Amino acid sequence: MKKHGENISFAVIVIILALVPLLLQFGAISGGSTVIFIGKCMAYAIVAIGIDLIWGYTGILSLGHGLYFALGAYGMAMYLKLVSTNGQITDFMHIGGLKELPFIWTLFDNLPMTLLFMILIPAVVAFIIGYFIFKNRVKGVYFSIISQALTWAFYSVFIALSPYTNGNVGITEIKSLFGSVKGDANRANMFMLFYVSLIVLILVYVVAKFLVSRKFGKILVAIRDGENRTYFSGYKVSMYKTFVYVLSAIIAAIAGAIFVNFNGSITPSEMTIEASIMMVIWVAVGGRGTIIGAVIGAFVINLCEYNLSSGNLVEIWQYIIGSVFCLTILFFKGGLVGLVREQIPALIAKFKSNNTKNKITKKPTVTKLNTKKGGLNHG
Amino acid sequence: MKKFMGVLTILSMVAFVGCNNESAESDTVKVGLLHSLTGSMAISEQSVRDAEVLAISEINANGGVLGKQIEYIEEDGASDPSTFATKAEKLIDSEDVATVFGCWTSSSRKAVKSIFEDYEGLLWYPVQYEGMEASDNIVYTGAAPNQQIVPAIEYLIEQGYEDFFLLGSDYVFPRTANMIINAQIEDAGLNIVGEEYAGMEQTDFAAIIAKIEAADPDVIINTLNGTGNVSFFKQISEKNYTADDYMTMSFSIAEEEVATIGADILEDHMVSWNYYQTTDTVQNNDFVAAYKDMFGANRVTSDPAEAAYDAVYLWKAAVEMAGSFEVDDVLAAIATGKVSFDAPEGIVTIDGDTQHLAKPVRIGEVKNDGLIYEIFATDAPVEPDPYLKNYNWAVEAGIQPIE
Repeated sequence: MKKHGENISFAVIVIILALVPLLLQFGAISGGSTVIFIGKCMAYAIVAIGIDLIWGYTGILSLGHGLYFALGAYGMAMYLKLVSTNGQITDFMHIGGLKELPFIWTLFDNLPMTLLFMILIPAVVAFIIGYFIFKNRVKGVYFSIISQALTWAFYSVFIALSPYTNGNVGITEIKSLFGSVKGDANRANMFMLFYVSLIVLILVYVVAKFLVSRKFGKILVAIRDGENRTYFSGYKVSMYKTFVYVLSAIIAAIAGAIFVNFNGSITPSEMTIEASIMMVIWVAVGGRGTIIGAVIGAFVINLCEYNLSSGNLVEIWQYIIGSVFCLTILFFKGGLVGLVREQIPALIAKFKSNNTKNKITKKPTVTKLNTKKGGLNHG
Repeated sequence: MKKFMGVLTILSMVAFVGCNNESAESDTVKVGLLHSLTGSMAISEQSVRDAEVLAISEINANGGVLGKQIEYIEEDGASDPSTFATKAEKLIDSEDVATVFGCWTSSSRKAVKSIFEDYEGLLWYPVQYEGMEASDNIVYTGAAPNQQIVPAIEYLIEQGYEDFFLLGSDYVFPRTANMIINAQIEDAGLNIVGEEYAGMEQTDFAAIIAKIEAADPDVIINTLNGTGNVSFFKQISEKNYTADDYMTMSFSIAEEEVATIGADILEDHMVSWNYYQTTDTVQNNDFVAAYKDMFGANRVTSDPAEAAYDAVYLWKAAVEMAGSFEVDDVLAAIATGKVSFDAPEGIVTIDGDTQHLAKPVRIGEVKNDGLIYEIFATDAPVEPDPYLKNYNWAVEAGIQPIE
């Protein structure tokens, strides 16, 4: 039971998500907009899984995943925009003085090409960056700084190239792959999009779980906990790091593409450093180093934001989110998952031992916990 | 897969039954306020939000709309267009509000535009903007380009300015404004001696000031926004340049920005709006007094705040004409072109076709008390023309959107 706790929790989440559209149909949820928002949360959960792979498992803190999220989102948005303009140039290109569709846009004029380039472009960017950074054994905070700078650079380029990207307005007024998803008349489209996204979330979860439960995952953890030892044991650490970085970039891009379908617009604010750090916060609050933690964190933080940032709390909600994050870092290093898995059992054990006042003192409890943890690590 | 599709279809078909038609007869009507209350735009949007709250409380004190008190639901756009989109959807669809007053930046408006169209909601947008837009589901209570930019350039041309330097932040409003100004100046046979864009977060204007010195313009047309204005004017004043050396005409500096930048620095520079705190009408005296009374004596009113205040009253007028809160009925009332309000800036009327306001244009000059004083005003309200269809030079230059 305990061994499969993570998968069972995920199954529960999936079942709840699958029921959401039904709840809407039977009037238990007040409006389709809630379902659309939960759809966006699924996209956030997917990107969080990617960040967990690279941060939680491999120990590389990337503060620039908003970039890959946005690259995927822009790829999808360009296709969807061309669908709505029938392949003609857009208003912002016209204002920018362009007479015909720029080359980069022509890559996205049909769906198969879009799906390919939407993934290929972020993957290539991540590979180039990752390959050189990890080969030169840049680590820790230096990597985080580089990832931030890269995001900032791309952000500036997207703003500056406004005839091609529409600057900070971004690509707006687009429908989803299945047509409009807004309003009661388009519920069938919305449900379609919702369930397809749910399937993608499940697939990404399964792939991530598969990777980390194999030898590959152990090597990632080994890199995190002792990079030099892993290196001297004969593993090509930089190759593993590059692979994980590219993989998490691809996952982020997929998430971006799903997000834009629900959101109906994409702006460069999704690729800011701020947005990237938010993504890391989801993982930290949920519990890093557990795939389920990333999923839970993304949902919990975003649902809190959605409900707190209105009404009476409208001016202080950011302080609330901020304090939750600080408390997590200070007291619950394992995030929500760690709280449930380690801290609460530890408390119960402590309570029991105090209560019964048996010969079992605190010491054995601690050793017991330790062996449990060790057992997990060594598989 | 096929099975799955089948299940999906069934799921979708199962119950279109549960549509909730509970139009419970309550004595309040819900409206949404959607502005950035956190993030970089919060400073600007706060004043607009406050003006809307003032109008709502005044209307409630005088008996409400169609006998119902207005209850406002506030959402934070957090200076992020995607958040605006999410929150707009929440307000219209989940909260079921009668209408929404909101947005400031063009990017936030563009992000919510299709949402208001898809859900058939109604947005009141209170800020002057770049035009080239007329959504059926948005009422624009700020100025269109022909009610701010075009008359300001006309005024400058009349005053004998010949060499123009265009300076703006790098986003859609300055880019579109300068496209219009280029066409207009070219048509007048005058010169654009430079066109420069600064990044949104740019604080170092040395290079741009050097280019201005080299180009030696008669007047700088300034469409910088936000913090860029503070840095630019501080740096130009550090070189001891005043309005006598380089006159500027700004489109994004109102009373609030004057307070931030410093009245001594901006003294004698020109701006173009439809309303100033000093505008001399009875309605404005009341508005300024009520605003200061509610939010503090040190607060100033500005054009966007006034336009937001008008928006609430115009919605009330439209609802009362329609005798209903339903968006379709309200839009039908607006389409008559007879919805108007005796606003602080003068009488404003919603144009039935474009859903923009006919409003007076005022060129103003900043004085050292931090207020802006009118130096030129149009005799009558100017009809809105968001696409500049009635200007030959604009039509010839092909600046209308293609879609």
